Amino acid sequence: MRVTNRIVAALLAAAIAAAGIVAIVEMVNAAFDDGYAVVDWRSAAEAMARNTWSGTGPTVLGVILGVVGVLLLVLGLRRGRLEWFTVQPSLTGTSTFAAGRGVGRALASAAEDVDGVSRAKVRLRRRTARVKIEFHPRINQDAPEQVRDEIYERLASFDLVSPPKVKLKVKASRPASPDRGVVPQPTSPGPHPPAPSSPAPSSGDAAQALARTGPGSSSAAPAGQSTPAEQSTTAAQSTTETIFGSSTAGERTRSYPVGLDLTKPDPERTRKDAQADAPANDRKEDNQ
Amino acid sequence: MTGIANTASTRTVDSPIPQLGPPIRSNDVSDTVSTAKPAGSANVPRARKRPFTPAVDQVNRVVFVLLGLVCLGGGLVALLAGRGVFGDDVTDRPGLTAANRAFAADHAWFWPVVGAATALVVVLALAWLWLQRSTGELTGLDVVDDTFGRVRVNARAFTGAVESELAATSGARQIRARLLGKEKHPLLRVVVTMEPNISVSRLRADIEQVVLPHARGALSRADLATEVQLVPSSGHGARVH
Repeated sequence: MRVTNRIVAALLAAAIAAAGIVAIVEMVNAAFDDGYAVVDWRSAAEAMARNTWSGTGPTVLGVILGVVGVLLLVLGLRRGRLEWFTVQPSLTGTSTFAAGRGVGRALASAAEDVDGVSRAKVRLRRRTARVKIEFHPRINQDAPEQVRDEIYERLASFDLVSPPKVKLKVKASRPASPDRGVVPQPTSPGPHPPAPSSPAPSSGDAAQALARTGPGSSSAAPAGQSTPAEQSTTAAQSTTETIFGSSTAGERTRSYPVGLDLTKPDPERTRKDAQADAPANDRKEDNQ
Repeated sequence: MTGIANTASTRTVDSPIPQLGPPIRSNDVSDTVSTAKPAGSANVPRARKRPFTPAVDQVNRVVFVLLGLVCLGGGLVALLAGRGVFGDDVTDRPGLTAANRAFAADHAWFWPVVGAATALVVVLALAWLWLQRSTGELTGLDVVDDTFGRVRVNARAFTGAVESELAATSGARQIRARLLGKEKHPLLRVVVTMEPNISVSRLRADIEQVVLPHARGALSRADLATEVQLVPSSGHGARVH
């Protein structure tokens, strides 16, 4: 803002000075030989004598003057961007200020240091600090509270005279979906439609699931094999098993619409294992 | 040597800021925060509420407001006159009438007065233009000025010494010092870019209790106003507790 003001001031001062010098030259020239040296002021005077106030010329001139006046007033009265926060004065009489942009950076850094926060954006005004965070609820559900604490702590460390009021806006990066879990989440007993078009598990989740289930196991059965009622029943049974520990293998082998289930028996893998074990058993019998 | 002088020389023995003037009296300024009073001593400068801005920036704002009011007022008057606010006779009247020309021709003083006013405007405009090159920085400061002579400190050398001393302060990544203001009321501005994991209060204490007393002592100016601008740098480090 200051640089802009300096440039505008320099240009304006030069223009005013140049116009004044030209005017003085014309006045002196007119006093001696009744002519003009730089600007044909006679034609300008004739135009002014010809145009009435309601004409186009004075109207356009009035609009231009008004616009220039408003611009100059804006330049003169505008406070500009926040640059410095005043820090509590010390007893030595030293004035201390903290850079607004730096404080904003520090707050964003403090927010991003909290586990689960993927992105933090701070918009700092004189009285408010709008902090917008994106976090993963599955990693840290308490991230917003922790971010708030961290930001207040960071602000307090600056010891500002009038610290800005923090307004936290939270956005979950990706909603926690029950379809993406290894074990189905508890669901309501009502009909629950399948989600065949649900997003595929991320590569990290898939890798973890693969590591747990083994490469040969199928991760998910086709969703079209079961009705919604069956799916909800299956999910409820899995939950029942999780809670009560009772075996419901017979029920679980019916259908697995979506997601991965570690407890699902794999008949294909069992058959392959049996085939692999058969020659070994034959060899053992031969040896005996 | 008095006790005060010995204290001062002990204090500045490790400092890159040389002791240039006579030692300042202990009642002028105190080296420690705990014993200093906020405004008890008249020589201790009062803390500012806003950072120092060069006078030219304030002049610019005032001139902009004045010129803006003049331009806006002139434009509004021209528009209102054309819309008949001042009467229909004004609306149909030309901007320059024969009566206006006759007035200028009948009075011999008219054009000389207009010329003088224009010259005054030109001088003011040139002065305003000249002001724009001012940065508010001092080139030097008189430390001793008495019948035996004058000792003048170069501002750049002085701020360089301050920067050298502050460079050793832990938590300060980058230092920039400037001597601003006027000869009678100088201001030492120190801009410190902080490490991300440093305590602000500790850094302030280091600067205010060690370096700034050295600077004041070096210039023998207990009234040297100081302004510290802290710029937290970005980065992920340990939290400040």
